[in-house]
Amino acid sequence: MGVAIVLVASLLVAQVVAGVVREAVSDEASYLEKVQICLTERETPFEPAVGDIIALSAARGALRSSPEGNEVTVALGGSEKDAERLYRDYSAVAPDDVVRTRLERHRKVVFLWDREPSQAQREFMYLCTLDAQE
Amino acid sequence: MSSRAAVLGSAAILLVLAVVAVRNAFTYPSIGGYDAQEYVTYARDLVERGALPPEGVGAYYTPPGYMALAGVAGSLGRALDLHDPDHLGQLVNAVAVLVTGVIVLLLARTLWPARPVIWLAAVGFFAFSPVVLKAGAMFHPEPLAMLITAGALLVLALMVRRRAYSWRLAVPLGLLLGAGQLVRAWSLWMVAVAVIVLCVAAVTDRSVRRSALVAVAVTVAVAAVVPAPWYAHQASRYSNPVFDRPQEDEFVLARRPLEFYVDARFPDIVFHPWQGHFNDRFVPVLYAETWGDYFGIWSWGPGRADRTDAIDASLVRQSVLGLLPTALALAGLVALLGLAISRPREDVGRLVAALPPVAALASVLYLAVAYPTSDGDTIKGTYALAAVPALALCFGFAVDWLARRRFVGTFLAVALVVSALAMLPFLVW
Repeated sequence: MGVAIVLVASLLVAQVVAGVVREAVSDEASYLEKVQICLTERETPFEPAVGDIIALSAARGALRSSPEGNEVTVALGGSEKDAERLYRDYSAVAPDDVVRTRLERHRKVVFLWDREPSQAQREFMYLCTLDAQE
Repeated sequence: MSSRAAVLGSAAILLVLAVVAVRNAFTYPSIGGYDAQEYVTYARDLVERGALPPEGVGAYYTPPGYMALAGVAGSLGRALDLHDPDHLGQLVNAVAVLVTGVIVLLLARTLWPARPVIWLAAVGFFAFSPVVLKAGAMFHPEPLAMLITAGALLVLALMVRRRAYSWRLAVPLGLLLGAGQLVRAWSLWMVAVAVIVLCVAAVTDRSVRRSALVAVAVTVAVAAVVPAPWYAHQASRYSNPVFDRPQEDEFVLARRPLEFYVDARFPDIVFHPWQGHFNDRFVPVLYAETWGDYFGIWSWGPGRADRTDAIDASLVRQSVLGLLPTALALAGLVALLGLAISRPREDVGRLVAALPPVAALASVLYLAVAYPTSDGDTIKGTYALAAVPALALCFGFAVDWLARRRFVGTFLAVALVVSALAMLPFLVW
């Protein structure tokens, strides 16, 4: 039995070590980079979210993009609480009709559109931020 | 620990299991489980029209055993004008889970009559395994297959312990093995387990050689005759009577990369145990699906809630809580297998606990490799459900060995009880 415990413990330790090493050497894209990759692949322009202190406070970063010409600020929260905070901060400074029609939250991601988005624009940004939403 | 305390403790655990399993059967949606709509339609058509699924449609490859019982239960539910009559089909599974829990206790007592710690630990492992409670709530054939397999294991254990290989036990064993194939084709591995155990008994014990070999012949014959009409029906319509699905032409082991077999994907296996993070890895999908809800069939997913931070946290908690019991069950399995191989004459009964998890794992692995999918859909904890009772015995064996040191035993008892209580909210749907 002692040998079996050592064997199983060794297997678990080997898996943990392998995982830690893989994490250390892998260059997996950040959540913001994943959104940028999605936008680039679909030839949709984007730029840093400059001057928007609420967006810049998002834990996973933020950017500006313009699917089908409609500009949108995308703020990636680090958690649902962080995203709720971003949504609350925007709600506190934006007029009611903007909050109602142009401000959206999908789990950890907050969108603030310059103009009311079409269904296609909404779906496009929703799908491009799927990784960041979790 | 006294025998009386172990039995009382086991009875208390089984009572909790009964309450949770029956409650889940009536709260979990009847069409919520894996392929549930197909199974509900199958059961209804079978009982009301006497018809099996049309060729190649729905769950046509699934034997009709559970569908017949669940279909009759559903008809009763309709006669009683229940809000969802198919809940009675799920109740069949709740009862199957509970009776299997009792068989786990009997198995442990039969195999290790002087080790009450094994009895209690095995029942605890079984009753708090999420894969058991999840499948037990569904409209699905797997829990009934688990019950029948556990029954066959008990008969096998009685044969080995009593060194009684007469037809009086061989015939019931064969009947159970045959009945298992009428419920779920995967239970074929149990036939192999029974044959190996009886053959090892024949080889290692000269005094019972002849009777053990006769028992093998009787068991195999009965196990072949019982499901023969079903296999004949399938063979007359499909190219493979067990599972008629097209396979790739490539050599079976070359269909997946090496990482598929060996990479557990730490830390994602603990911190992101949900679909999308390791679709092409066998170990983490099986683990996450067994202890949590990888495919979104229980606590999140289509028709339920979207994942939230709270749901993610509960899935991570499940993954963390599953580590200790998994490690102990694997250690017990390795120890029992090692002892069975190195000292085969000492106790053939060890194979009764050690072989089913190995055979079931091989069966699930074959299914995952032979029929690969991009989302890991063919890797499901439920496919190995029938091996959980035996794995519970392995777990009990390891706990019993460790608990001989008083300090370790106390620590383990506290850790496992706290784990079980922490899991309870996840187990109740």
